[in-house]
Amino acid sequence: MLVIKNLSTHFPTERGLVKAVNNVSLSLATGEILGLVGESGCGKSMTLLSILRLIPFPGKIVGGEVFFRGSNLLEKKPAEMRALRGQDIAMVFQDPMTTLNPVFKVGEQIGESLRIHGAMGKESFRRRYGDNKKIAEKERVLELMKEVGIPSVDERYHEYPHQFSGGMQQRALIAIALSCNPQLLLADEPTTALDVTIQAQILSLLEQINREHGTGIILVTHDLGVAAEFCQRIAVMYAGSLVEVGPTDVVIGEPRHPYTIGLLRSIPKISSKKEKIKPIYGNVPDLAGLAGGCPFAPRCEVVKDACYSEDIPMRQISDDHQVRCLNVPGHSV
Amino acid sequence: MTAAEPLVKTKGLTKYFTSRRSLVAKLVARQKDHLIKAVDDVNLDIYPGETLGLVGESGCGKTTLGRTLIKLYEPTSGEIFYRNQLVHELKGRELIAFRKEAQIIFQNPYASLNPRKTVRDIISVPLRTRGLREPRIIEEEILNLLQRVGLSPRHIDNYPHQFSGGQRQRIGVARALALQPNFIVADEPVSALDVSVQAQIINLLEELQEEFQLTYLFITHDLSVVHYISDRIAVMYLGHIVETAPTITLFERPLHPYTQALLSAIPSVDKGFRRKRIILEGTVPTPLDPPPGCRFHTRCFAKLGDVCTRVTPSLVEVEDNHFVACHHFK
Repeated sequence: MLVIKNLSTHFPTERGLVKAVNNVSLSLATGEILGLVGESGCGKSMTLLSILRLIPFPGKIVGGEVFFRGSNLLEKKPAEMRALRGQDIAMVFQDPMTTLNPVFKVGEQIGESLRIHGAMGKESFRRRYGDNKKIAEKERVLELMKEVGIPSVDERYHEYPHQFSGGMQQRALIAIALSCNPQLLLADEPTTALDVTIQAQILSLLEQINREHGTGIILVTHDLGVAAEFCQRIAVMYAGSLVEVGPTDVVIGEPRHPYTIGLLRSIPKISSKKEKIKPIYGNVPDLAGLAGGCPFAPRCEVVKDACYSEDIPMRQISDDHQVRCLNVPGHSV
Repeated sequence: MTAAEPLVKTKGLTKYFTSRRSLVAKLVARQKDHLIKAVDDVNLDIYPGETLGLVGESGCGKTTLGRTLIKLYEPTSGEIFYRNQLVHELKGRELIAFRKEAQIIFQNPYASLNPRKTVRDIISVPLRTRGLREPRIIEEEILNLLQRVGLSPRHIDNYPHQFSGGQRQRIGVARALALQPNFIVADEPVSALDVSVQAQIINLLEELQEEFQLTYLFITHDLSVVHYISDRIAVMYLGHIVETAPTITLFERPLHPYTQALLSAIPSVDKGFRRKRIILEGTVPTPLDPPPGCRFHTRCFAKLGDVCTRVTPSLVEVEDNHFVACHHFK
């Protein structure tokens, strides 16, 4: 359904060019849940924003292609993109407090996307909710609020965002995203601002949406645990590049890239008490002025001279498992 | 462990904050000041040399409890004993001695270091409090501390903004260590850090504990971290401690319904640990007006009935060292 080829997004800054998204190739099948995992500043969110062409100034998509149902999004006119955003591809952002507008009622905000995309004028919509646009909109909004699990919707419809808890705000955002039945849902750290028990609620809601509507989901998260439990495939990102892509069991169970291995070793395991955690040496690099070669090389345990000089290609090591590392044999993609 | 005298002990420790209404609201709407019951009737023992993990969701009062223990807040009622001394009666020299022994590492390494002071300034203050006067000795000690927490000597004249999050947290650790404390409250010390860096700080804290025989109260919402570092765990919900047990026991046999739900909700890369997720209804009620009886009854899936909504359960020892506050256990 979604195929990203060699996507690059760069930010010119005073300190040098930041390659926030560097030659990223990824695909998502219909109804699939893909986890995009990495640490802060590795370019996960920028990858999502690049798909929707919402890169903030001074960033720019400098190359690549993003095919959504066969057509290249990067070649579309701005008006075509506007029609697509929220309708076919919807996004859920990380911080619900700052995403909702504090001065509008939650119900109105959920209905906004329906109004913008003229949903109420559509034949199928009219047959279901009637001809009166106002009533139809409210009907649909109440239905959405119920679907995402907001209790006492009749009162909640008229409340403002500050009257909602964090988890409820996130549900409202998901309701906005779902309003036009998108085929693709981009979720940028949707549970990071939430407590564990609320996180479990939101994740199971997303799972249910995926199951019932067949919505494809790209879930950006820094939490490998969330990705492992929730996604069918995982893509690991480091300093703007994808370093490993594969089915969840493979990436978590038999990781091949030294960064993925290091990341997994640095998380305490619960089933085996006192298996010593091993941190990755050093810090996440500054993306400005990153030299060529493998960006992970300075922190890598199995680094070779060639790692610093060559650009490392993504290699196919089995049918559905790709790794970008000179130490892992495989044929180039 | 029970044989030893606890290093820190609390009896009925309670901390309320008042959220004041405006004069207009008081006169016109006859609203009263609200009480935020952040910590309510907490009885807790912390033994020398152990790491007690304190877990709970945001707003449950874990930070307030940690800060009250080391006298950053005055308790509303109840008692705190440190080495059998009543903490709130300490004055003058005794209080300073207590401050040296009980230190804190804060959650946010970006906010807890003064941006206008260099590392030298930041660490020399506690050293002078410790009684060091000679500048040469102070410098030597700063360099020792920096090296101990894994920072290079050339960092001594740098400002906090020149460091990454992990390095800043190391400065925070060095500052706490400068006073040669016995007891450290580590308040979410790794939550603001990236996963690969988290592990560095956790390992550092463990090494330091061994080297200096430190006692930690480790506050966190991350259950895999708390499982890794703690000897014992206390679970907090809306100002109450609902369960305490040795780490292994708690993870194998969680008894309180809240603990069960909390543990089941941790997303884990670890297949051996995954269990059936218990999804709790609703959200944590506000501590402004906590529910009566058992504070968890509004979300509990194992409610017994009336008794839960009326009577606050107290902690009972169900098995050796395993305490639960739930009406299912008498």
